[in-house]
Amino acid sequence: MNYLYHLIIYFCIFALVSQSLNIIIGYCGRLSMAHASFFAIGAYVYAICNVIGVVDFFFVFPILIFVSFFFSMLLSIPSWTFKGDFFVVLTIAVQFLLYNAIRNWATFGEPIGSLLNMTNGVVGISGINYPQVAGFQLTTLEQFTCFTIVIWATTSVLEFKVLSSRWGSLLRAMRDQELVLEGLGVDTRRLKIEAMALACAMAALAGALYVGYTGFISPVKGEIEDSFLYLAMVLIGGSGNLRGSLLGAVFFILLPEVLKTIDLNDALVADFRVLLFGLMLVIIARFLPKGFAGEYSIKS
Amino acid sequence: MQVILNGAVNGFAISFLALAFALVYLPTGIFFVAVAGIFAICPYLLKTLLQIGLSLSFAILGTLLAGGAMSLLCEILCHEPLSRQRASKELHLIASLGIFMFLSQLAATVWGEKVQNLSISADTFVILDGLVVSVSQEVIIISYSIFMPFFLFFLYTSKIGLLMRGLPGSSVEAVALGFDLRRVRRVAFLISGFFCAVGSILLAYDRGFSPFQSLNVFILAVVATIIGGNTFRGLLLGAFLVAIIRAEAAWNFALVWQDIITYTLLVIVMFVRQKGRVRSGERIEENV
Repeated sequence: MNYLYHLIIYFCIFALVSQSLNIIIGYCGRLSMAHASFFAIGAYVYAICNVIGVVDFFFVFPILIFVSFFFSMLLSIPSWTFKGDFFVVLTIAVQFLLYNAIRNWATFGEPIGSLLNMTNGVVGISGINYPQVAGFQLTTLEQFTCFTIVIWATTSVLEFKVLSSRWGSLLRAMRDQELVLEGLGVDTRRLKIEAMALACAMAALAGALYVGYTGFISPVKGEIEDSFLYLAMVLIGGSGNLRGSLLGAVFFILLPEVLKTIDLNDALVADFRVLLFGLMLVIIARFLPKGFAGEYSIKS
Repeated sequence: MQVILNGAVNGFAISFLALAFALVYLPTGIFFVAVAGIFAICPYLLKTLLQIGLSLSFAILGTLLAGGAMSLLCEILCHEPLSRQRASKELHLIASLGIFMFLSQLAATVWGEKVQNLSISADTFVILDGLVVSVSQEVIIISYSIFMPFFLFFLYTSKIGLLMRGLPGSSVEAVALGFDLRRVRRVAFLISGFFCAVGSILLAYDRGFSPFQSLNVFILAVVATIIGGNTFRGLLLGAFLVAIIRAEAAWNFALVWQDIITYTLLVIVMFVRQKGRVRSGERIEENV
């Protein structure tokens, strides 16, 4: 039963990641290679809050939103000027800059969360507990599973409402015909800031849930290889709608389980997952540019 | 001076991969991430060929041919069909990314993730005018001195070289004038794979190799291309600039500042001058 809870929690976390990246790819029409760094930022914000004694989720949440919004400007401002390959290169630069900041913002002997030792470097931060929710401390796996499901479901419903609204229509219009939208007097720069902020906040929230579950975070979770996996997850499932991103998350979670049934050890399962994802990306690009269940086909 | 020498030699090595990337990117517009996968796999091929008993020269030749063949296969099986479908550059990038993930993970699965070496003994060195030059650095300098002049001669004197230089932004005109773009693309991919294999072997000999370090080197090659202004001559200068800046950063500050300074420089160059620092001829309508 514990393993089922584990799968449910992981599905909720990576569904949030997939849905958040879907906003950038499927609604803003940009490919981003920096998503793992925002996931890591959220994880570290939660971890640092935990270490310094801010444990109630309702206090951590606004800090998470504020920090992710601040860092999302690193994506939204370049998106005003760049698209296509140049935007991808910039996101790679942002990814490496944030990863290096996380990895190296450490001074041995200083307390974690201080200005000299914000992230504890390559050692990472351990001993992170489940969150408190309005004063109630989560203690069991079942409670944390319910909490994760509630967070994911609430976020998904809000995301669906927002993307189905006029704002979502404007995003889709901006994705397809940005120049026309600007000609009609719509502030596309503000749209991009809002969309990137929403996407990065959701990724940061997923990171916070992840570290709340695992109890440990290190810079490894912010590496660019994870960004590639998240990108593959969204593209394989499909972008431009909710079902594609959910399908991508299901595929991301279940593929290792299927591989384990053929008696592969965990290390080989991880290797084969990346191999298969790589192969599937080529197949998707060649034959299924909308992914398996998406609405938006990647085009310039 | 030692720092500058070390940086320059790194620049020589990065130039090969930058050239491999630019040979595909500049004429075709394809963001050829797969070259990082070929870069990852080539040292393993070389080591395997040596282990099965081939002589060094045949093993190197075999690896170079394999690098070219892998790159050509990427074009024939993936990018050419996508171009026929008039796929966007993003789709080409995604396909190329998939090939990179597959190749680098294949190397990790088959040969393991540990850092390996091509030489079995410690590197020797000579001292020239107070500068320490290792044997691996000498090999890099000699290889650069042989390959680059030949390539530049080919680029500026041959018909295909002319087409490669002229294609960026003029592919429709080239087709209208009756040039065989398919042949040019295939030659570009083939030479790209060849240069990728050369750079990969040189860097592997100098500092060892593992499946996942190829991406870092690839990003440096992209940075060099962009800083160099998206031209062939410019990227050679860009590679030097990047390598020397990184060497100076490591010497004067700390190793951690290498990447931070490199990517900050990239962001600045992209915002200030999208075409990099080496001016290339621009058509008026490109600025509209």
